[in-house]
Amino acid sequence: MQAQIDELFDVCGTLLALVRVDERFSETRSWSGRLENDGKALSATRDQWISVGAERDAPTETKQRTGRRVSPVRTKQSAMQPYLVGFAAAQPLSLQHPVTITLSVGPATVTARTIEVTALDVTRLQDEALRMALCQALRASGASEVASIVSAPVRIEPFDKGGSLHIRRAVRTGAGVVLDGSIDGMAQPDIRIVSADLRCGTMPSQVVLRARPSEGREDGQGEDGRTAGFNFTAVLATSASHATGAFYIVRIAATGEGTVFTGPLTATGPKDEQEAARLVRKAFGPIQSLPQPLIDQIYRPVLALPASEARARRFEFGPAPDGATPLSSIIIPFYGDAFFLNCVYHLQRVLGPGFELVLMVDDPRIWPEVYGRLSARQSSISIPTVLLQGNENYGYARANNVAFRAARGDVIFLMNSDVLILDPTGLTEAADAIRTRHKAREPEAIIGFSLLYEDHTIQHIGMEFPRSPLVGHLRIADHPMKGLPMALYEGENTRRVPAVTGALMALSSHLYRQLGGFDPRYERGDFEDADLCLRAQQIGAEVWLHVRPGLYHLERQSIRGMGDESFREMITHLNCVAFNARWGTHLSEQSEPRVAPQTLVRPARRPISVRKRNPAEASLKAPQAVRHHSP
Amino acid sequence: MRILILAHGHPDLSTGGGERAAYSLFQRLKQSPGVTKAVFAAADNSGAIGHDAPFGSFRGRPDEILVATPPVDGFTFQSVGYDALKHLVNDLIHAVKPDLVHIHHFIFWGAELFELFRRAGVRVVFTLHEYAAICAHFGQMAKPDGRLCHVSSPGECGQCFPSTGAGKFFIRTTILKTLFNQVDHFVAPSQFLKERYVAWGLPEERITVIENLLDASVMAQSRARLTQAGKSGRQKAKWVFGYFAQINPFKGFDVLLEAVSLLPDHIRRQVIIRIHGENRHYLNTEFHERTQVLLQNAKDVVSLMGSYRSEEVIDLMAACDWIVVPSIWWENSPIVMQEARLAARPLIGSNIGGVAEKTDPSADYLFPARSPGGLANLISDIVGNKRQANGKYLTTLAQARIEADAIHLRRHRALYDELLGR
Repeated sequence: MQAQIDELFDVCGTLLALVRVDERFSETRSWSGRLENDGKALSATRDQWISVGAERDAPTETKQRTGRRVSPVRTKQSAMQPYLVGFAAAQPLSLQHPVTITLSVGPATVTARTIEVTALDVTRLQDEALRMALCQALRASGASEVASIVSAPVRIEPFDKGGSLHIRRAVRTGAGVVLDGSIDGMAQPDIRIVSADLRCGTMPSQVVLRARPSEGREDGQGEDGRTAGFNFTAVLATSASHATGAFYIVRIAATGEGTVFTGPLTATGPKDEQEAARLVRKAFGPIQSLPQPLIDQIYRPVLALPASEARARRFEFGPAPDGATPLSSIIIPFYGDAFFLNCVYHLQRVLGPGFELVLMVDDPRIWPEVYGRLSARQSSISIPTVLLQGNENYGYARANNVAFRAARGDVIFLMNSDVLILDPTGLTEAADAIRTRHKAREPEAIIGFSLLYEDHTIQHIGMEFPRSPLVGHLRIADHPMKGLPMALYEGENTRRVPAVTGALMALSSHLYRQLGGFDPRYERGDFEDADLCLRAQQIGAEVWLHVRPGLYHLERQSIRGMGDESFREMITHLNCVAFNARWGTHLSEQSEPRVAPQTLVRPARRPISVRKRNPAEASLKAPQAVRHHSP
Repeated sequence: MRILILAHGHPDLSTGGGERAAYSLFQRLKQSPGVTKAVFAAADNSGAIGHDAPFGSFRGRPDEILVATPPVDGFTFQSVGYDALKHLVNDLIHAVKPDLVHIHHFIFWGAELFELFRRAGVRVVFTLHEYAAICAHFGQMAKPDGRLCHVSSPGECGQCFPSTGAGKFFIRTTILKTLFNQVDHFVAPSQFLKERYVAWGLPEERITVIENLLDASVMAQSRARLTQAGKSGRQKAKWVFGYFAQINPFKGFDVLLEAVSLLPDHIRRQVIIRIHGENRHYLNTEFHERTQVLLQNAKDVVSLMGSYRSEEVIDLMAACDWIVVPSIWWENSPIVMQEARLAARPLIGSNIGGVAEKTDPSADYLFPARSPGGLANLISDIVGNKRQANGKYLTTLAQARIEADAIHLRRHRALYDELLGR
């Protein structure tokens, strides 16, 4: 064998394959490595490979080429020369699909292997040859911040409570860990946090240091002779694959010393996003005070939901769709309050044929109640109803996207659970309009609806995007006339609008699929409806508002003093900033009369692919998996 | 005509006005010509069914069925076990084959009762006994902070229950109105209650005001008493005021005690207050502690007589000079007022809702609701000026009330006939 592929590991987002090549052929210049995953390919030519340890009998030109060779350590037994082959992926791999590495000479494949992405354990950094190669490979892949962690010899030491490092809090969140601690010593340290599998690490901006004054004396010496030090707060963003939660605190070497990895430490206890948000706010400042890149680095890991694969188990109630009439699927995510099942009961009373309900419960707290309540009134369920059980909170966007995969209709309605339909005529009419457009090959449409509060005032008659002085003059998704009596609305009953709320909107399943559904970049739920409408218009669809009676959105006011309003505000701001980053320029250009940009703005995400379900399985009441691959 | 009467409880297991009214109607219908079958079905939540079946009979009676109903959601009144309820209702329909069901309450059953019967082709009559569909606070239209409520709206109900919120009240109302649409006709025992439901949104023409029927044994006592020689005229040294109700805050027990504490001494010496009723549900409450103190200070005037059975109520009332109904909520048609009529006793009532409606201006007195001072003034006036009701007039009223039951029954029958197209 001329070449062998041993490992593929992920170090802070950089993929590195550890390969071995027969040293007799290792200097062949036409070697290349190729990584394939889910239809995408990355490649690394031979001159991007970093040898682990010295290359045997290396010709002099190699030395000149690399200029970064490591000290020669010959392995006498082996005739294979190890190399690190770096693949800089712009996006995370889709790990549901196989990853294949191919080593070739010229066009000829020498070896290929389908391989799992594994972790590189921190302890292996003590292998000097590997560490140095890693440092070079990371630098070569453009990950110089990560490379600095392994730029000096590594010493691993266990955490010692009496030592110079103190941890006050380690708070887990959905997508990270917030660490609050202090370190003794007069010199300002360079601290990083890495996960024990090295897949995740902090960037310098994710750690903030504050000098800790000594107690009592001004010369930096404490009463007990201990030196003063620094408090630090760090945000470690974790990835879905990083499940263990163990991490190391890294003190990067000052000149001449080694880099010290202290750990492994584990953040125990339940997730507490609110406490994490409090710590981050105190250390880094309010979210409103930070620029967008820092918001993404510091606040997103705290406010985001875990990016794990969204799945759902499927249960069916009521009759199966008759297959004869065109079907509209009403998708309703349930989170937080099973009370709104009452609106589903009501739908069963008022809806006619041609509809199915897809209820997505992505909240384990209310699942038993929802399942139990529906099960106890099966004989009242006259509309085909699919009930989906999610494992955890997926957020509004992903919950809808998962539920969409289970929807069978050619028209879908996205509906909040607190929407109450007294008169379904508007829905039937919208579904007809969407089908008619489709048949006539007219532009696709997203149709939103006038929605009322319980006092018959306006909750929604279309959305606009004015700049708001309340959020630093960013554009917000505004509901004009919100709270005013519907009788004061004198506009058209059917009109084009910039966007409509996702609390109740209709579109063809073709369009939803084409758009890839809601973008889960909008955490938990905010702005994803506006984003969907804007993306739809960029591919030629139209957004319409239908003003129709009998449609209520019983969105309630937030309860003051529940303690979560500032957390909620942070999420809104995070999403608002993300929305403005994507659409700010476009909306400003639009508001100027002459400019009409034709550029296609696409979110960096895969479209949702819909797998055909086996019709025999579909009729089973037994649960079956519906899988959604998070982009 | 085959009729099923449905109640939320059996009056011998749970004493409440609604249960008693339902049962009284059932007693009369059983003997009513043209009624080929009358069955009484009561929800049983006390475990009175002594076996595992979902149905049982009360004291082995073949036409009094107890039903172990599944739980009901306390907010929207929908059944939590709809499938089980449907099964029970279908079994009842299959066994009784009613042409018409007269429902006296949906609590303990579930408000889907209406549609379940209606879909099976059974005509549905529903007697409204309080304001349960309008008000989530015990159906009383009295706010948790004590103030009276005149009109409900989701926003205002949300203020009474801040943790629930207006939107959920809108859903509650929508669901109940939708389910009420399945009722063929409503009966309201008082005009006041009808008006509240019309204001809430029920069509006026679908509600008929018919007074509740009274228990056969009470009617018999009244008849017996009226045939005895006239016992009118006061010879007693003291004035006896009787309170016949459960001891709870809504019935105004504390208002009565506070009124006693305000009586001038010379009046107080001439007054006896008899409390016929028990405090079953309000022990260990602030209300209980407060009334205990009031009672302690009124020992010379107030006598606690304990609970009573309907078989003895006429005699107990007849031993009083006045019957006091100091309720602080709207009431509907308190049975105690009907019984006072049968006992030929005059009433002192709070000037509120159904209480005011059911008094007779020629015999009874009203005082401002919730006003101990107003009640004390009225008692002082009655005692100080030796105001006595006209005995003959009271006897006429008693006679009329005995006869009225036949009228109320006829009106029920007429309603049934109309609905059944007979």
